Amino acid sequence: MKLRHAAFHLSLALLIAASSGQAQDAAPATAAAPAPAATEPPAAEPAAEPAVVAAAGPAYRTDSLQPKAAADGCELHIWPAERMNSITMGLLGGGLLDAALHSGRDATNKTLMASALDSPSQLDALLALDLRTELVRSAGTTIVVHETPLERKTATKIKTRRSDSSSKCYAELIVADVLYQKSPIYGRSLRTLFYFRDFGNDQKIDKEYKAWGGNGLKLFPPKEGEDAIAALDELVTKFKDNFLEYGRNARKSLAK
Amino acid sequence: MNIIHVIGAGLGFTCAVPVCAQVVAIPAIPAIAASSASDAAIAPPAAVSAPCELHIWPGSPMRSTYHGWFHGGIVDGAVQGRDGYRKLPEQPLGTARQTEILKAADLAQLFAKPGFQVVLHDTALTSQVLRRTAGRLQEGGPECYAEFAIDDVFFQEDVVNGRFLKILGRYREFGSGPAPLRSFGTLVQVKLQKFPPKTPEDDLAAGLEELGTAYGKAVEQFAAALNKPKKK
Repeated sequence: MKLRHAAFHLSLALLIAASSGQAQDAAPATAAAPAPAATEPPAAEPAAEPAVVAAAGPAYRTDSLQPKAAADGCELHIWPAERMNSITMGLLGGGLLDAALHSGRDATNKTLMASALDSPSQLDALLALDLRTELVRSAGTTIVVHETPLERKTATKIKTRRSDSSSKCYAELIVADVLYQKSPIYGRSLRTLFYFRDFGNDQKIDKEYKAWGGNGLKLFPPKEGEDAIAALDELVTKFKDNFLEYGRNARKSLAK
Repeated sequence: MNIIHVIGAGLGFTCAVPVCAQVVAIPAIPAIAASSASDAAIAPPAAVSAPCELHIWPGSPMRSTYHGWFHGGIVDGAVQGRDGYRKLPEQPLGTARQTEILKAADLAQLFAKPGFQVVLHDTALTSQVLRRTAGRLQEGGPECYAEFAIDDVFFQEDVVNGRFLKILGRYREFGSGPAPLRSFGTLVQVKLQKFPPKTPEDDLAAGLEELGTAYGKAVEQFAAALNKPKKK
């Protein structure tokens, strides 16, 4: 168990190193995030051709945005992640040489993750779950989806509301990082860093919980030239599982 | 108005969608039995009244990933012009250009579907549509139907191995039933040498030309992976 944690923390250290050198990733920090897609279902995508099926569907499910109960003015804003990383550790146990040896594989993994877990797919996966229950929100909470990710460098640093909502009952769920990790001992896993903040009625965080959820992978990454669809679908499934794990831990932590 | 291009089986014309729909329905071209091993399931029945169809969709505009040691996790950092990422020309491989490249390729031959009428659409479908649609992407049409859609097009760069064009394609074959007889999707890559230009003096046109050529090669690679006999 300790070894497993050590492997994860080594990966994390690499990720943090990447993040620290990422000043160039960020645009000027602003508290206000890009305009949300709002609580209303997103506009239907233009139909590709009249007879093409399903082309008019939205990019993510919208049936859970509006509360089933009467809306009570509470809002939960969610943002997808813009940063994805892949860390493959070989028998060298990490380090620059190991990273160089696996660079091509990691680059390809990252591209596959960027496709399978693009912003609409992350949002769709989260909206398939019962976010109100998972994050102990009221049944009347309206979910507000932001299709454009927050700048990663500021996503967890700015401690005020990231939207311009003035709701008196306001919370945020930010997906901060998506990380594929392979270690020679513990195998492959998808990890996701989630950050929940409950602001209440002002600009000050009342409660927050930031943690990784992680689950093992059996199919991803696919072998080159072979059918990749099941492996890509597995990423979405594990992304959901990661959130459910995070949600369980968040409820325990926030109840204290 | 969306345009589709009907290319295969001796035809070669472009038309607006409502008109095309009529043209496609003309039972003028007898279907030819496909020859590859993978075609057994979709081989047209002896007495079909409409030609087999292979529908092709181009991808959305190119995206980007970068893999470095000290930075580079931001997806689409290059196409968004983010600081620290290689600057790319605006829309170097948009949907319209992809369509033109696909139009110039012998797609029926590539996909081992001789005799299939190729219907090339000029509008990309979103990844969500491609993933969620259980049945055919194009309603109606003959029993003997196949479809290939490009899900994503990426410019990928990593600090050790250099630059690549990668495409993720999805292919399905249908028969008389609503469920596909075969599904296949994979990521294929072509190495880039000239794109994007490293300095303003470098030849942008040569880089763009290389990108277009790489796109065509990537489609060929996808088809080769699709047609590869299954391991026993």
